[in-house]
Amino acid sequence: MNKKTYQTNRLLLYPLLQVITLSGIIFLMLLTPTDVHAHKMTLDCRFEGSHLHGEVFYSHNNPARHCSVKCYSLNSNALLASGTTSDEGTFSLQLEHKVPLKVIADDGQGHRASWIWNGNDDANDRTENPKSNVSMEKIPAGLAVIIFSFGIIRFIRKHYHES
Amino acid sequence: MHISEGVLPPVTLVTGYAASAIGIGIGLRRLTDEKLVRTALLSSAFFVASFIHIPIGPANVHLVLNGFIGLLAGWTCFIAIGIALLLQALLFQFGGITTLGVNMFIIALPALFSFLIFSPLLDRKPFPVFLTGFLSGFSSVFLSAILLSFSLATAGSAFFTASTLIFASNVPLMIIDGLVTALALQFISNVKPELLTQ
Repeated sequence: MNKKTYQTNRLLLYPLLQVITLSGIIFLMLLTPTDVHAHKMTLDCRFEGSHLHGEVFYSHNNPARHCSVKCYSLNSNALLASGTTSDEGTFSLQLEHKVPLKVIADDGQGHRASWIWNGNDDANDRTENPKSNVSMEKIPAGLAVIIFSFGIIRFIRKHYHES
Repeated sequence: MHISEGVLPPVTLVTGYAASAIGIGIGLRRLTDEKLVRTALLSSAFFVASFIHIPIGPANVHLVLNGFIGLLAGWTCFIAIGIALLLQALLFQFGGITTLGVNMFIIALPALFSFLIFSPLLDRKPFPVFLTGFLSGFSSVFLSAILLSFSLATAGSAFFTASTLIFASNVPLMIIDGLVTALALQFISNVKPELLTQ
């Protein structure tokens, strides 16, 4: 094989390799089921009679499946009820007494969310991680702060070296 | 890979901050003016990559790219990843301020490992760049999963149970991160190979 043919083959090989790899990635995306979710976990609850119904989800409203859910008394910290979320990320706990409580959801992978009810039906229920998607406007702001931070590092280093 | 607030005990949180502070300190000493712009760009890339959600079956994952960051940033990966994680915690409540040190350590140490193990292979090219990139991306997420399991074990989770869950759910991410890192490195190797040398 002469040098020109070898280079031509190399030039053809790289795009081919990249197309095969991209196809592999797309194939994995389409076919592989997984429970990995990103970032923030959110918990939302509501009372219906003596039952506490709730929903646990990640960013982009993906349901948090099979998470541990525990309900504690806000005053005594005693465990009132516990359960796990369904495939849809929902749960239902039966409570003997409607007392101020804190609900904690944990997926066992480092994500945790909590919900507190202070006993006031009107205004005191609080989702610590309110339901929201990523605010895209904050991304350019974050990038600007990163550039600014490295500018500060550069400034301090220059000042340090001069003095 | 972002551990939430309230999951880990104080000892783990302090240890995470101490270990990451060492990494940041060494990184700052090695951050030359030439590397500053590159580190800033990699920090930005890491910050943005976490928002790129890839649908996999019914769920989605986000890229980590710590192997890629490590290969290009070297010891300054702690700075690049630390600043990006801090902003993610402040702006989007991903992870948290108390868990920042642990999260930084979990992601940046494998990035450093990637630099120490795979960067010499890029310089001498005993392996194809694509393969080196894939192994770097795959092993970095793999190591992050191990560190995450250890961290959660300190919180009382059974290590075996936690690690099984984490590994089972992160295998697709390891493969995808490996492939994306491989493609990115192959592209850089074709168009600007000098970026791959430290």
